[in-house]
This record gives sequence, C-alpha cells and structure tokens, in this order.
Amino acid sequence: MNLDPSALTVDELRRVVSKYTHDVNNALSIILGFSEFLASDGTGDAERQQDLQEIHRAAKEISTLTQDVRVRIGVAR
Amino acid sequence: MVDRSGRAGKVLIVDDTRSNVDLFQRLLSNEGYEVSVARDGEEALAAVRREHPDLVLLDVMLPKADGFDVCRALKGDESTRLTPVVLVTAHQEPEKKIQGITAGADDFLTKPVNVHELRARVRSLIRLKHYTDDLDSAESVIVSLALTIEARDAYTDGHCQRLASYATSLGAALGLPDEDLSALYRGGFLHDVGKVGVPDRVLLKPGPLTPAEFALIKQHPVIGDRLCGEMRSLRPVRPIIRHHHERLDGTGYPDGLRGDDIPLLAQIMSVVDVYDALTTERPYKPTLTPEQAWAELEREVEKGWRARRLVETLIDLGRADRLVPVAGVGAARLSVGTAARPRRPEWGGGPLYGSAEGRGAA
Repeated sequence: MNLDPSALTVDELRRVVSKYTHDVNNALSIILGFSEFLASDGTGDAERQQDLQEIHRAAKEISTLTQDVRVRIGVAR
Repeated sequence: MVDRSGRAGKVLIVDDTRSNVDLFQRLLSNEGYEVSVARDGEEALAAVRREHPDLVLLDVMLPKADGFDVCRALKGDESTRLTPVVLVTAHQEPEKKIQGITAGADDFLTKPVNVHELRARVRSLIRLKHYTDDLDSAESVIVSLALTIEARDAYTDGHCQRLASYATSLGAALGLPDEDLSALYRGGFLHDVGKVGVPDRVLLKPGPLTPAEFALIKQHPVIGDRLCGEMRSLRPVRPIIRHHHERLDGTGYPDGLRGDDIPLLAQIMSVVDVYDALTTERPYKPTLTPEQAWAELEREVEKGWRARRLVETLIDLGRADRLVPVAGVGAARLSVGTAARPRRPEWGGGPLYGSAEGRGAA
C-alpha cells in the first residue's frame, strides 16, 4: 500500500493507522504487563523499582498517544 | 485462585504470540490458577472440550479460526456455552466490540491490558462459573435421584431414557421449539422424581391399592414439583412433573385440570408414559405390541383422556419407525451428562400399564 498520506483515501488511512496502532498496542501490552509484573514481585531494590516505573510511565504515554491518534483518525471513540 | 469451596480455577489462554502467552501465564499462575495454552482456534476448541476450563482468555487475531469464530463455536455448543469467554484485542473500534458481543463473548479486554483489570475480571467470571457449576450439580442430584427411584423396580429398566427419547421425538414431530424439546428431554428423566416421597410399601405393593394408598401415590407429581421448585433451570420442566397424570376430561390428578388447561408438554409426557408402560414387560400384564398399544391409546382418546392430535402423531412416528429409543439420544440437551445412571426398576402392579392411575380405584 502506498504510504504517501496525500495519495490515500480517508478509509485507507484509517485502515493503515488501525493496523499500526493495533501492533503498537500489542507490543505495549507486553511492555506494560511485564514491567508491572516485575515491579509487583517485590524483589527489586528501590533503584530498580524506579527504573521499572520509568519504563511503565513511558509505555503508558505511548499508549495514551496511540489512543489519541485512533480517536483523531476516527477508529476509536 | 482458590474460592471458598476450595476449587482452583482453570484458565485456557488462546494466543499465538509467545510473549503474550508468557505474560498471561505468569500472571495467572501467580494467582493460583491452573493454566493451559492453545496456539490457534482449532487447538482452542479441542482444548475446551478436553479440559473444561473455567474461563477462556481468547485473543481475537489467531491463525486458522479467529477469536470471533472460536467464541461463536463455543457459545453455540450446549456443552461449552456456559464457559466464560474473555476476548482480548488490540483493536479499539466499537465495531469490534459489537462483533465480539454478537459472537457471545462474556467480557472484553483491550490491549495494552491492565493487569489489575485482568485479574479482577478473571476472578469475577470464574466465581460466576462456579455458581453455574453448582446449579448444574444441583440438577444432577435431582436427576440421579429420579434414576434411583426408577431403580426400585427391575421391570422398568430404561423407562426414563425411553420417555426422554419418545417425548422429544413427539415434540419435534409437532414442530415445538428447542426449549420445549429440552424440557421434554429432561422431563423424561424427572417426571416421577416425586416418587421419592412415596413409601416403598405403597410404591412397591404388588396388589391393588387401597384408596388411602392411592391417595399417597397421587401426591408424587406435587412432591416432584415442590422438589424442583427452587431451581430456576428446572422451571420449564415443572409443569411436566406436576401434570403428567392429568386427563383431558378432568379425571386425572393432582389438580384435575381439563383440556387446554393441561400444559401441552405434560400431555405429551403422559401419552408417551402410557405408551412405554404398555409396550414394556410388567409382571401383572402382557407386553403389548406397538400396534396394540396404539389401539389402546386410541381408546383413551375416545374416552376423552388424551388429545387425538398427540396420539395420532405418535402413531405416525411409530409407523414410520421413528419411535426407536436410542440410548443417549439428545444427551447433550441434558446438562447432567455425567450423572450416574444406576440400574433401576420402577414399581409394578397395575391392572393395565402400571401407571399410578391404572392401579387406583379411580
């Protein structure tokens, strides 16, 4: 598929965005899940906990951005 | 996760992405659940039927059959439809949710999955599943009870199974909907469950009954109805239990209902009950051939006891050789497929077909 946005119809653009955000969400699920998992197992020291929280916060941010894009492009509400 | 009754929940994870599986597996194992994994739709269907999980965590994007197809297949099969299904998807479009709900999904999780939400949903759905299992086993207990009662007389081995099969065939020939056929099937097993409240000395008495004894016998539909009264799932079966000894002219029992006041399903059950009693061996009467039994039923139509349409349809089925009792027919309709089937007998002793009414002074 041609990825020059100006050459895409709105529907095509939605489909492309939907596919990309879908894959991003899939990957985010893993990052968020495992970082939460590691943070909650209670074995790390304070520094490690903080690192994990950073990963978690960044992933959350991507998640929010992704959701934002989806809403703007009309593939989610 | 172990609930109050000490049962651990079993979760089937269906996902083709290894890291997703790893994540869910660790998360749920840590909570105490027993976890198994299927990698595609076909594997998932086989695993559900084999392992009877308490919950299926089903990814939508799967090789072979997708998550919606798998969900639809599980919800369309009577033996798996009560297994909760949580669809997991990275799509957030409302149409996908609608598609999932239409496919019968019990819940939705959107990726990225919040682990707290996942834990909470899994916990509450498994709790619900355990409640459903309890109801199911309560029904199993009642069916086992009914079969045990049948077991009090060696002469009526298979009576319940045959009645379930005859009644369902007759109902189908009359064009009744599936819910009615299911009620008839279960009614076949449960119609006489109230005999548990009739003492052996009366139930098993070989000779004629005194009026007082017959009055006791006449209580069995009432007792059976009351026994099932608390169970929502048996609501459609209760009219069969209560009214399968009524006659159209009002001379039946326990309520002396007349004509259309007698529920159709109960009328069906009474016709096949009489037919089965006539065509099976009893110590006090000859075994009739199907033709002789049909003639007897036609006489009961003339006497105003049975509905002509029902008897004629039964005879048509018999002539077309479609009234053959097959063990296990429709077993899937009965949510108690695992109930023990003790060898049984019913009670004997009646002038004609040994039904309670035949033995009474009525």
